[in-house]
Amino acid sequence: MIKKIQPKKLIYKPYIYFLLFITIVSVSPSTFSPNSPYVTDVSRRFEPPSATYFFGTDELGRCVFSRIIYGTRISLVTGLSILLLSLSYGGLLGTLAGYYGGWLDEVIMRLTDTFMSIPSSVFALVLARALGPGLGNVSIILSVAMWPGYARMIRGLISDIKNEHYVETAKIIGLRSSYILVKHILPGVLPPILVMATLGMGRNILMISSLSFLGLGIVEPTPEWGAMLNKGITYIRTAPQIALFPGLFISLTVLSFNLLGDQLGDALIGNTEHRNIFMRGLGGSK
Amino acid sequence: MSDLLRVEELKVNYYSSKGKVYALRGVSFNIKRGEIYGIIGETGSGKTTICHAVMGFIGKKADISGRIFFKGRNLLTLKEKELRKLYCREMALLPQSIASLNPLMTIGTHIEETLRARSNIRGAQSLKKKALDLLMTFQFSDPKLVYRSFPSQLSGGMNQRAVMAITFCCSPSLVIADEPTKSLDLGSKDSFLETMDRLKRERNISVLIVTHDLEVVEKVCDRIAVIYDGLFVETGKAGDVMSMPLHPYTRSLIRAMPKNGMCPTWGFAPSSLENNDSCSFQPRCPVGRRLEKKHIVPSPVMVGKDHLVWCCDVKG
Amino acid sequence: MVKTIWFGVVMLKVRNLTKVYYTGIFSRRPIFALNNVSFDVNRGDIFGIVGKSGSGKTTLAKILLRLIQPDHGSIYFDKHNLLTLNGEKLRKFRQRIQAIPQNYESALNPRMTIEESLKEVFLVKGKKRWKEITRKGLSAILNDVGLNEEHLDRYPAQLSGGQLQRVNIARAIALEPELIIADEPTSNLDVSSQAQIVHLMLGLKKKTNSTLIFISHDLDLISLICNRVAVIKRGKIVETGVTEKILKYGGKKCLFQ
Repeated sequence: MIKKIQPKKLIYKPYIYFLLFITIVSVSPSTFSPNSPYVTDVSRRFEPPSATYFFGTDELGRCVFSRIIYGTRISLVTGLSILLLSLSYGGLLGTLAGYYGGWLDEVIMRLTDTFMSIPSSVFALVLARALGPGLGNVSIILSVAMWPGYARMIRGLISDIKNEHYVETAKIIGLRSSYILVKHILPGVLPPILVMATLGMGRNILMISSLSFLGLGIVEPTPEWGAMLNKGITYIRTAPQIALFPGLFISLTVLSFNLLGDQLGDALIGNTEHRNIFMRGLGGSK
Repeated sequence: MSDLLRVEELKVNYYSSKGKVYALRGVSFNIKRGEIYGIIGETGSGKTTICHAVMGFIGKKADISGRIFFKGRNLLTLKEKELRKLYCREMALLPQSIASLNPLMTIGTHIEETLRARSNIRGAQSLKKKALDLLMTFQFSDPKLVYRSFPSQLSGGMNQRAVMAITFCCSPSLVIADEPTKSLDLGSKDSFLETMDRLKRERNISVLIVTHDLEVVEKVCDRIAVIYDGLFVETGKAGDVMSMPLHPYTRSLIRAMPKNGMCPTWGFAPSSLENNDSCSFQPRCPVGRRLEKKHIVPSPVMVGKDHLVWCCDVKG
Repeated sequence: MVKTIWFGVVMLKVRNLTKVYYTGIFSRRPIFALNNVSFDVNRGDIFGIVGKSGSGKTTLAKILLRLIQPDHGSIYFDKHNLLTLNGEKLRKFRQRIQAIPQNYESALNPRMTIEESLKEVFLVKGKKRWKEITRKGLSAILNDVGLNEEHLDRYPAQLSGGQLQRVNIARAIALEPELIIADEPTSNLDVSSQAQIVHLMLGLKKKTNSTLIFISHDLDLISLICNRVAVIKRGKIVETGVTEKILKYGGKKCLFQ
């Protein structure tokens, strides 16, 4: 599926460059940061942006720019791990529910209903209390909040595709269920899920930042953007740079992921090949 | 001028990923008032393009040339606004399948919606009365029940009649039906053809039926044209052409009917990607296949009254 | 066309097949899609099932193909009770009964080339057999249905209706089934394609010595090719027997009353 979108079809818009940039940065933050994100220098607190400290310093005299650079890794990696975890449970349960139907479907859907009815922030708070701080725990907590959405989406897609004529034909031929699932059903599930996952990355980063903003999950001195934003709010009048830059980066990253998700959506679901699938029977095979 | 519709030298080209597609390569015909005209062709022959061209559905991305005169006015020169005024009141398109009915609206609502948009009738009472009258004309035994029903509550055949009722609600002079019997089984087909015939006789409505089903043509058309690869190969009175088909393609279609033994025609349909003077049926023609050179399509030969053939094998 | 009347071995025995659907939210009225349907199909027959749309023909086909379960009745195929087969046994049994669909385009996965679609059929015979299939082998199969090697690399959207139906036929006969159920295989095709496909099907049936159940609403077609016919009306079989007898004397009248 993915190889069918040629790179030249994805118009290189600014947000793609931005995402590429932060991905490269997150791989090797040390090359990009001029100073250490952890070294404190109390004599140089609250300095505005300068040649040495591009984004100025924070309340402990640490370089804000370097902290943001190291923060990219934290946001992206944690975001990705939340995505992978929630796709695993959501994917497994959604596939079981969609493919087998019947009582299994009912049970799993009621489970998703239960999880979805608990407000995620309350849920996250309670779990954070129970599990304690740390990015690993943050991943677990947030993946538990995210999985029902994927489960429902996958279950819906699978039960729709299951009724397609070509799936029925594969059954008549006598092909194994596992083969039918992998070869015929899953490729139809991937495009919408890919779009959902891309949009989900944006949401994940926002949620990590929100949790940190509330003071949960992140251990000082980890340079997580949300935590930085939290600390910076107190000094917003005197040293706005402490809150401004993390906030800006959170917004830009989430926005970029959303725009990417939109564009992928158009490319994968709006293109003619896929449109042909939806337009069967409306005028023959021309 | 008793011609309701007169088409002259209609040519349509589309642009597709494979290149230029010559959908219609110069087609001319005329339909009189109160006449049912059939165009017989298969997928890719250009028959649907004719319907689209007459209705003005050909988009800006296609090339269209020629003249389409409807009641004396050239439709190709009309602006979109003026063309739209003709819809439903003068020209109407009969949809191919009953899927064009909104499952969430009753039949009555469908009819009234069209009346409100296209006719001068206003007021809930008059609209309802007109709708019920219309349903009665289409021989529904209980018009009030059908008026209140949703498409899912009616059978396929009844839905087909309902679609016809909606098409005729503003009494158009010309109805264009693109493969109207494609999804119908024999019983519904017969009743559809009967209704067409009755409307022609009682209301003097002209119908352009585009189909590949020769049974339809036999039973209900007055004059017909056979189209192959964007050009007419034979035209004339339905009775004449069906009883004495002259063009090898027409003959092959008639032979392929089940009641005539279902003899298959050798070969596949042409791709419409070329536009030249040679006969596109030659590779499949029992006579043309054996010839070395490519035949140039000659001018039409008139055989009998009104019966035209474009074939090198037929001499006047 | 020569029709031979076989007074041969009964291959398929359908007895008292019933399928009920319930409508209405409060009253739960039963609608009999199939009502006590019984008939026999002999080995080598071209057995026609004629009826209007909605008469239950497609429901019958789906039950025979084990896609839906009937509420009552039994189906005996060559001494096996078809309805008791389940799971892996059923899956392996399916090779013996294959289908040719009405909607030729949607029966093929639009994302797979013709080569892939054709090759996957052989997976049923085992992974080893599947690996042994060559492109040449697949071309030979396509030649049998009137297509050639260049069609292997195309996608369903690039082929015409007649060509797609040929691919479906190729997939159906690849496993050499004993019984082929064709549910309105030509209803969506043009007149010339119909003739070509019907000829192809009859030729292949003879070559492979299989039995064909041909479902249609077209009386002329059925009376032309089938040697035995069952007429179905509103879920009930109203007549069965040799084609000439059934359709000569009022078959049409009985269908459309």
